Amino acid sequence: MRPRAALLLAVLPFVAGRSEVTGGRVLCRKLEPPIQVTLRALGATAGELRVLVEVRPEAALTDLRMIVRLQDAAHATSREESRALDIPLGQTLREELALRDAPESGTLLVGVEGRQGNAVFHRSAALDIGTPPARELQGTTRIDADGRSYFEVRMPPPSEEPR
Amino acid sequence: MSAQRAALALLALLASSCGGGGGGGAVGALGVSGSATYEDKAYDRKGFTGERPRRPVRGAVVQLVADDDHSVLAASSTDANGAYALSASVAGGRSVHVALVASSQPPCNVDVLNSLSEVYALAGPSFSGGGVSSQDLFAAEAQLGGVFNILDAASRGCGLVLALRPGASFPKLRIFWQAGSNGTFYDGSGIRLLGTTADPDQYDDDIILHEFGHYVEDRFAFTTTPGGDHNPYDARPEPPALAWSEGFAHWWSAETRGNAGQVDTTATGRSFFELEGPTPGGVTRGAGNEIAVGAILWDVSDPANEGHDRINRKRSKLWEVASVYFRQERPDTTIDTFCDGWIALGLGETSALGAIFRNRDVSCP
Repeated sequence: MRPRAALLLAVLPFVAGRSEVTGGRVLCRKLEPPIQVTLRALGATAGELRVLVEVRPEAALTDLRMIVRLQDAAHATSREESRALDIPLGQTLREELALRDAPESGTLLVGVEGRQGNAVFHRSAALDIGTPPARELQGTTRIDADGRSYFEVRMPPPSEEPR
Repeated sequence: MSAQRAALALLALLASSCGGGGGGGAVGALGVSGSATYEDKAYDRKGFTGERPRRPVRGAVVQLVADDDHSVLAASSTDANGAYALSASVAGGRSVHVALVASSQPPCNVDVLNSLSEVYALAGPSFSGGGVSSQDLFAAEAQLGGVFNILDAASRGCGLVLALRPGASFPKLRIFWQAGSNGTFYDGSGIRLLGTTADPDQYDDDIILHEFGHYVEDRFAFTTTPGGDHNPYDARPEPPALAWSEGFAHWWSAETRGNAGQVDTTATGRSFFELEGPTPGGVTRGAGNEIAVGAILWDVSDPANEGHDRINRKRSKLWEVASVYFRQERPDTTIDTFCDGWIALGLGETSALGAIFRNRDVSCP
């Protein structure tokens, strides 16, 4: 399969949500794991997707491990590999990954896990491949007599339920 | 009374009074009842287990909605088992549907909304005709399962407030989530939850309840936290007011769930730390470490179960300091002023409290 050239960067995991704040002060951001992971598409040629992965531990972590999962949207399949990493605190690992048999449409997920004693930290990053899978819920807007707006999602008939 | 029997009783009343209704057909009484459930995703300290239990949607608004003009013909709410019953006078042939709304009835006062401030609702299939019918509503993960999990977690948070302050009145809490939404945090206007591919939070009860803890702190207690980023994983102390606020929210989440573990699932794994102990060891010490603060509060509220922890289930005293002393005296809110408040209120067991504090390298008094 040929991966499409157009790769969309889906998520930079450390992008803050500040832009969504319209008022009020931010009292709390979620506690994030002390690992930074970023993904950048470098290119796609016949059957091969090249990406740059950057990993930077922000605390002294042991048992660092990287998980790479490639999800094929068209066939609803995925494959996964993992391996150990050795990155001293304060240093950044930059590594180019060449992913063979990349799907035309799907998602690349890269997770990095580390430990501090019995605590476990895990950060994931995602990169859409080709046409991003539709994630938006399909629904309609309804407004009641009081002007309250609802986003209604229709329940599928029983035969279409996922279970 | 079962939902079905309640619907029949209401239907009898409506049939005798014969009210109005839209449409041109003869008006008749219509009753519908059933159950409302959502698809949960079970997890433990190792992440999602793969189990997907159906759970009741509790205390949520249910509406009977006319398909033609979207008017709400009747409204009720689900009970603790997810059962509901609705009845209304409806013109014959008029098409209607049942909407399960991601909005809780008072006293808990929570809406779950998309970024356009539209409240989520699951719409059942349309139907028409009089009499009594049955309709079970199910929110699968692919529809609004995560939304109703958020509502359920918030309901659990409300339950703890009511246990600590019976009869509490809840200011409206708006929780925003949708696929792709970026950032999990609480500000004065509500809670925002991540919906990204890499780190969706709609099934992370621990995280939802942590943010709910900030809502409680803001609306039922008092805080001087500067907010912003925080990192308890190194030896650098956080500002004590920030460490208090985050530690209180960690404790709130743990106390609501009855579990000191804190899990945050992501697309490829999970993060985990624990207040009992706590983990990670070594760095979780001092008034400037939020996990140390959360661990102290957990030791106050859990059973007397460790050598340094001889205080047995005193969450009501903890709550008194946070919601009475802090709110009235308005000190800089830290674990140190928590100790001051405990003593000022004469809550006793100061020697045992001191031992819990010393275990985390904080002095009290």
